[in-house]
This record gives sequence, structure tokens and C-alpha cells, in this order.
Amino acid sequence: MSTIIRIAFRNVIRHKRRALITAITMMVGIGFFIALDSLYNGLDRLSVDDVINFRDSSVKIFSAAYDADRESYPLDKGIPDTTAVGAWLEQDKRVVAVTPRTQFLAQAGNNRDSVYVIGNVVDPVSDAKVFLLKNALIGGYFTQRAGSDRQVIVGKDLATKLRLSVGDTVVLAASTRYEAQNADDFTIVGLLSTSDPALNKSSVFITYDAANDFLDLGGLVTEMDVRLEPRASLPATLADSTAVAAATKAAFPTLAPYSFQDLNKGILTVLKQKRAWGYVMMLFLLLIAAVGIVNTVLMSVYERIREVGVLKALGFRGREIVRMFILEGFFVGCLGSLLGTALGALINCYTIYVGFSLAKFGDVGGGFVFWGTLRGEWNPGSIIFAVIFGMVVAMVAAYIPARSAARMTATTALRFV
Amino acid sequence: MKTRTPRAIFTAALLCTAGAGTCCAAGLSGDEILKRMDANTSYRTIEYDGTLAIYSGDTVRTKEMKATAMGTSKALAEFTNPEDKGTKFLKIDKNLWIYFPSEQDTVKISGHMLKEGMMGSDVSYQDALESDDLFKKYAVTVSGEDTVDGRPCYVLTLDATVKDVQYETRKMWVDEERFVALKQEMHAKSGKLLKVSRVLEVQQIGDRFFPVREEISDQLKQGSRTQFLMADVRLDVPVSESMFSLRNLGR
Amino acid sequence: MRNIWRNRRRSLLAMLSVALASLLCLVLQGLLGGFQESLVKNFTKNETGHIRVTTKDFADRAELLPVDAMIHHPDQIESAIRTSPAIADKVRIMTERISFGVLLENKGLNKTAVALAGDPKTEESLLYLQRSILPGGHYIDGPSQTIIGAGLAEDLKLSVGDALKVVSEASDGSLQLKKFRIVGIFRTGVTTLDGKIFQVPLGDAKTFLRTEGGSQSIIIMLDDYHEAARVAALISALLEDPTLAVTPWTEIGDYARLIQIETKIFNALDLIVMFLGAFIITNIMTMVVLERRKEIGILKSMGFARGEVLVLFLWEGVFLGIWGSLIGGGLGFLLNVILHFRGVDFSSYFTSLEFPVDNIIYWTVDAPVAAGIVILGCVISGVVSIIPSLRAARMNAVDAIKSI
Repeated sequence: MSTIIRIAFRNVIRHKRRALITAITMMVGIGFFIALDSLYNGLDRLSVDDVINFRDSSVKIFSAAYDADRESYPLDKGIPDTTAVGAWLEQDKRVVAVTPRTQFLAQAGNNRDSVYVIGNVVDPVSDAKVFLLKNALIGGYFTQRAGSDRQVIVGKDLATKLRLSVGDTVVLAASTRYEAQNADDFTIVGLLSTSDPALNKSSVFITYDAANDFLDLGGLVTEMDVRLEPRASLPATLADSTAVAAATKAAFPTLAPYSFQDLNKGILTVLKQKRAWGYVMMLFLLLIAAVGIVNTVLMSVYERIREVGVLKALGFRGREIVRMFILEGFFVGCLGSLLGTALGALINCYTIYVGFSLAKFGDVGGGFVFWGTLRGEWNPGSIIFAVIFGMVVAMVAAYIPARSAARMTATTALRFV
Repeated sequence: MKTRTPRAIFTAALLCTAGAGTCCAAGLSGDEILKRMDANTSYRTIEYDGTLAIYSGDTVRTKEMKATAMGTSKALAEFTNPEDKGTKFLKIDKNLWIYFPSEQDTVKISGHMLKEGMMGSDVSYQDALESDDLFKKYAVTVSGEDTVDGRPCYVLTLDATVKDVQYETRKMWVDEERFVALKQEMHAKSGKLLKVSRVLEVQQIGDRFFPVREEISDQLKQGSRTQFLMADVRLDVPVSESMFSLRNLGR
Repeated sequence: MRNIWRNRRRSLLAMLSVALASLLCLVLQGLLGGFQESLVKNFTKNETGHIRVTTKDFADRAELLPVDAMIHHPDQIESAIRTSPAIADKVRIMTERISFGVLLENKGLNKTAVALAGDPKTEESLLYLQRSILPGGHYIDGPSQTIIGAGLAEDLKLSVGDALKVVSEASDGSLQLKKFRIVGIFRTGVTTLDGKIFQVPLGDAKTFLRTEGGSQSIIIMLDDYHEAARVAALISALLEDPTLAVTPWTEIGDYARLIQIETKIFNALDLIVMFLGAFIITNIMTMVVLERRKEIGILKSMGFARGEVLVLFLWEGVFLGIWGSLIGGGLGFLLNVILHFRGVDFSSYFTSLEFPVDNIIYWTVDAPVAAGIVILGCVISGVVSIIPSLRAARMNAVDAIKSI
């Protein structure tokens, strides 16, 4: 057996050019497969990150009583001891920051028309540690100027609809915590432009300072949002979210914590579907690569049928000859896979550690602001799959012609052209 | 906003009959003025033909109804305008039911649903169904005198004394002769003017003055106002309690 | 010529490979086109269609779902479109829709919701809600029937067979009630749909809202969504009615942008695959020439001049390339045409998803693209054959024969 191995190896070296060509075909196919797969994961990740960074955070906590009545945005049934909950959360290593929020129904108007909106009361400092509103603002964030707590951030599309812009006054009308009607002038400090149309069209953000006065809030907190440590892969991110939500529920039975998955089944479903299409595309990639591999291997085997005759004349048995060719396929496959993995890893390194800044996509019409970076994700599973695929194809491609060649008699083979 | 207190307080207010505009106004306190207004507008029962006109920019929608009410806790209204003919509203305390003749069935409206405007008008269900007890929730002061539609009026300022009121501050221009609030301004906590109410027509029924045409306009939405007219008003007529029941709706 | 046939196997192999590469590239094009079409369809079918005809008044206040901004004679508009030769055969589906906000009540519980009214038969290929109906219920098959979202059912404690009480303001400003019988409950997995939406027959909505035959919108789905803007302009010109707004999907809502992004991504991926295809062809051709070193030697020793050898090999390379591309391209084109009419149902891959989308992909057929791929294949084959051919021509005859 070892003789065969040695012969196979030397054959490969002898036909360097052929081996290299086959290996390069494999390299390109496998390399791109790995890179694409990584990018697909990255794309999914972006969509999820957007929701986490702007709307739902990683874990959203309500009191159970509020949760039951969430649809009507009541200004009571808040979380009773937010300091205790916050402290408990922050000692979990997975938690980066926690922030309180309160939602209320309101109308936003320009003294002519008014629109129903969802109001969000935020603590500007802690909110910036959990959510990334600052990154999607046209204009500015809340400032700490004394006496000007009537600041508001509105969705960009909302402002457009009311024909308002940064620096203008918007009239917010809402019911206070005691069901009194209140309305006041707020100054727009920033316009929010995210990938979530709902946020852009019907959201406003004010500070707790303003709300305690405007809504007679008394510091009522109806939800707490949590930012978790970033994880390298999407599945890990989701798992963390579920785990922390469950732990919170166990520690505080009167609360209703929601993991990302609980809140966003719809998005995850759509992502899965898009992914399935992506797999079909990658299948084509592999098919074409297979064509290339098969072709080059076949050709090289057929070219050497005469050698088979020589080998047979020398006394090698058919089976050994077949094994030799398969081994050659194996070696070339190894080379190709190695190169392919290297190429894939190289591209991955770029996409994962540098990434594509989406700002380059720029204005896709209508002033839609893109931000953030598209990054790849390591996926050892698909790397292994691609490598195995390549090697199997190379070996099978070698096996088929080898078999028919090996069956020939020495003389027939020698006469082969 | 009319105030409708179940307890009709017939104190000194009754002494000031309709034509006696010579009541020495100078010494009247806010509370007393309110009491006299209250005497005019509170009733045990009422029956009238009402017309609601909802203006929104250039369009106007008109609803006509026949209404009966017992104090402020029970009311029944049947619509008579062609589009809504036969539809009935029944209010008992804080609950509202709507009966639809097309399906011969009733729908109950509850809780926060009532906060929305009634059929797009500026009067929310809440406004219509829950009245602020002015006496209990506001501190009243007479802040001056003014003229509205040529009639001399006391200007009352009402500041909320508790948190759970509809409007933090109200200003009322009360006709010095007839003790009807000809104009009211409803202000928010921030001071912003939210709604303005004008009484456009006052009718003398017996020895009281009853506002029969009122217009409310939302100050935050341009061109948005609602007018309510009461015709053929009959006060304190005998009304049977059984009329305010779900069973009766179905008939 | 004879050289090619002499080594039939090698030539055939090369040609086959080029053909396969071209075929795969072309089929992928068709598939991608089909994907994109499906993507656009699924994003637009629920609200805007490829083209939406409404009154201008409605378009301005669309988010409020006003019921007093109706198209009064939608049937006239539809027949005008159907009888216009330039437009009619571009339209695949045309249907009327009304969406309106309602108040629901059951046993004292209230909930606001949105009703989607359309022709039940047509909506089977648009809204697709019939796919998400839970066992125990069925789709709408008669008047006064409704299917409601699972979230709605839960909040109002309703089940199949119950009556749904729907209160809404009608076109004339009156308040109306209609009771529908719940024949099915659907769960799409999308909370906004399940908790807020229910579907009813269009006829019932028109009566209930007293529209006197009017509809809010006419939704049009085209054969080719790329033509939306152009066809919208044609329809607008045809109808000559300044109170109407004929809007293509690209101008409504935010999804147009998202789809454009998806499209860019698809295109990038497509390029990568094409590149790979070209690479493969390069490899094949290179090998072809390399394998024939011995022949080169023999030819040279027979007296062929350098130039002649060059032309010979070049010609062979190009010949193989042309034939391979043509065959592959031709077959690919044929496959695309078949799959265009037949379509492949990818639903079985998505069994876990009850999301109401169309998973049947119809390959797109694009003759210019097909021709482009064929030409590209030929050109690549030609170009790639040049260098090895040159080297072959320059080879020393003896060296050539010696090489194996």
C-alpha cells in the first residue's frame, strides 16, 4: 500500500500543472462558498442587530400586570423597584447596561394637523448605553441644558409629514398619569432615521425630566431594556437573550421579561426563508465548482491511460491502480481544499475584522440613512462541509475513469491515444 | 362643558330669578356664581331633539337624535338622521352600549376605547360621559369682568385642586344676568389652550336659562369644531327608569 | 478540424464542461430573476401591488385607512384597462381592495383591528392567508364569513363558529355594525398580522361601508414588475382622471428601498458565480492545450510553422468554446423557458414557515442575457486559448514530444 501512496504522490508532483489547475478550481469554489456563507450570516446578523439596537434591545422587561394590558399603554402598573432589578442584572457578566423606559400614547401636531404617535420616555444617559439612537440621528441628541427639558426626538418621516424639522416646535398632546389632558410645545432636537419604518413614522422620544412634569409621571417606569455583551455568532446572541430573560423571570416572578426571540418571531422567520434561498445560490456555486473539478480530473486521468498499461505490464493489479488514482485525487483534493480554506479564511478575515461599511451604499433614494458595518461570521460547519465536498468530488472524479482504465488489458491501454 | 351635578343645590341661587339682573353682583364669590349656573343647568330628567354637527376643515357631518337622560348617570339617545336611523346609544354610569337596527344586536364599549372622539367629533366619550365635579375638583376665583356677545360677564378662573381632572385650568365667562357660561376655555397643565366652548343660544325654560346651542373647538387641530343644538327641551318630565335597559334597546 | 475529432474524448469533455458552465450560469440567472420577482411580489401583494390605483385624496391620507375617499366606479376603470391592448396583456392580476379600521367586540371585550376586504378567490394568490389557517377552520367560501388572526381570537376569546361583531364608520359617516361568522383562524407567525388583521369578502365590505360599489383601491400585479413605473404612466394617461393616483410600488412605502438593497446583494452574488464559471472555462481550455503538448511536438517536427501551429490551436480552442457555449446556452435557455411556465414550488423547503408568501419560483427568461452569456463563453474560450497556444507554437519540437 505504501508503494501506491508514494507513486500516487510522485505522480501528482510530476503533473504539477494539472494538479495545480484542479486545485485552483477547487480553491475558488470552496473559498467563495465559505466567504459567502459567512456574509449571509453577517446579513442576518445586521437585521437582528438593527432591531436590538433601536427597538427591542436584547431583553425587554415589563411588570406582569403591565404586560397583560400593554396594548393600551397604561400609565400605571410600572416596575416597582427598578434599582433592585437593575442592580441584579448588572452583576450578570453578560449584561453591559440597563435602562428604563416608559411608553405613552400621544398626538403630535403642528397646530394644523395632528398624528397619533407612540411616545417613549427615556433617560438620555443610560439610554445611550443600551440603544444606539445617537447613530441614526439627523440633528442632535438630548442635551443637558438646564431649563430646556422640553426636548424631543421625532421620527424622520413623522417630521416630514408634519412639515417640521430640527429646531421647530411640535405640539405633543397626551393624557397624564391621572388622565388629565395636557399639551405642550416641544423643541425638535433630532430626527430619527432607522431601518424600522414604524420608528420613523410614529415615534417620539422625550426625557424623564420632561415627562415627570408633562405627564405627571412621578418617575413611573413601564419597561426596562438590557444590552448584552456582543457575541460572535447569531445563535449565540439569541441564546444569551433567552438565558438572561429566563434568569430574570426566575429571580423576579412578578416581572415579564421577553427575549429577542419572543418578541421577534416574525423577523427570524423571514430571515430563515431568505437564508434558504441563499443556500440555493450557494448550491449553484458548488455545482459549477464541481464541474470544474470533475472536468480537470477526468481529463488528466484519460491522458494517462497509457501509464496504466505500463503499470499493468509491470504487474500492478487493477485494484491497486484504481487506488492510486483515487489517492492522486485525494492529494489534489487536499491541496485544493487547503487553498480554498485559506482563501475563504482570508476573505473572512477581511469581512469579519474590517467589514463593509454600509455607508457606502449611501442614499438608496429618499434619504434612507444606512449605517453600520456588514461583517461576516465564522461558521466552522460550512467550512468543513465545503472541504469534504471538494475532496469527495475530486476522489469520485478520479475513481470513475480509473475504474474503466484499470479494467483494460495492458495492451489495450498501451495503445490508447 | 356643561356641569351636571346630580345634587341640584337650590340655595340662594333660586332667589335670583331670570329677569332680576339687579342682583348685586359685586359681592358674589366664584362658588356662588357656579351654584347659580348649576341651578340653571341641572335637572332630574331631560328630553330633547338634538343635532350634532361635526366640522372638519371643509366637510361637515350632521347627526340628529332624540335623547332622554336621568341625571348624569343614565342616558338614551336614538339617532334620527337617515344614515344612522335607528341606532341607539345607551349609557348607564360609565358603561356605553350601542344598538344597531341592521343586525338587531348591541355592542358594548368599555374602558380606554372611550377616550377616542365620538364619531370623529371633538367631544370624546369621556367628555360626554364623565363630568368633572367642578365643586370638588377646582378652586374658583372671580378674576374680573368682560363682555361676550355684548353681554356683561363674570370671568371665573378655575384651578384644579386634584390631579385627576380633565383640564388643569378652566376659564369661564358667565353671563351676569342669566348665569350661563357663554364661553369656556379649557387649558392644559402646561397652560396651553386645548378647547374652547361657546354657548350660542340660550333658552328660557320656566324660570331657568338653559344653553341649547353650544360649539366646542379643538385648538390643536385647525378647522376642527363640533356644534350641538338641543331643540324642544323638556326638563324634569316623568321618565321611567326601565327605559334605560338593554332589554329596551332591542325593541 | 481533424485534430479535434481525433481526440474525441478530450474535446467532448472540454465542450461538455464549457456547456455545463454556461448552462449553470444561465439557469442561475433565471432563478435569480425568479427570486427577485418573488421577493417583490411578496413585499407588495399585501398593500400596494405592483401598481395601485386610488383617489389622490386616499393617497394623501393612506395611513388613516379612510373610507370616505373611494373610487366610485372601479368596474369602469377595470374594463378600461382590460380593453386597452397596450396594457391588458401586461397585467397578471387586477383586483379591488378595501382596508379599514374597526372596533371589535365580544362578551364585553373590545379591540381595535384592521379589516382586509377583497375577492376571496383572488386573494388566495395574493394574501395567501388560506395557507396559514389552523386545523379546525377553513377559508372563506361564502358571504358574511371571515378568517381572523390568532392574536385577535385570543384577545377576544373567540373560536371558529363564533360571530365577530365589527363596528366601523361607513362612507357616509354613519356608525355601522356587521356580524361575520368566523370560519377559520390563521396564524402566520407575524404578530402584527395575527393580532390585528382579519379578512372579509369585498362584497360584504362594500355593503357594510355603504360605498355604493366604490372601492378604496385597485391592486394590479404585472407579469414583469420592472415595468411598474412605465405601465403606471400608461394607465394614468388612459384614465385621464386628475382625481386618481396611479402609483407604482417603487413610490409607496419603505420596502422599495429594502428590495433594492436585496437586489444589489443578489447581483453581487450573481457576479461571483459568473466569475467562477468563467474561471472554470479558463481552466478547461488551459488544460486542453497543455494535454496536447506531444501533438505540438509532432506537428512541428512534421514541418508546421510557428504561425500555423498558433492558428491551429487557437482555432480549435475557439471552436470548442463556441460549440460548448452554444449548446450550454441553448439548453439553459430552454430550461429557463420550461421552468418559467412550470415554476418550482419551494414551499417544501420552508415547511416550518406559515408566513403567507408565495414560494413558487418562476424562472425568468431573458434572451439578451442568454446571448450575452454565450458570447462571453466564446470570448473567454478564445482569449484563454491564446497564451497556451502561443506557448505551444514556441515550443521546441523535441521538448514537446518528450513531455507527457
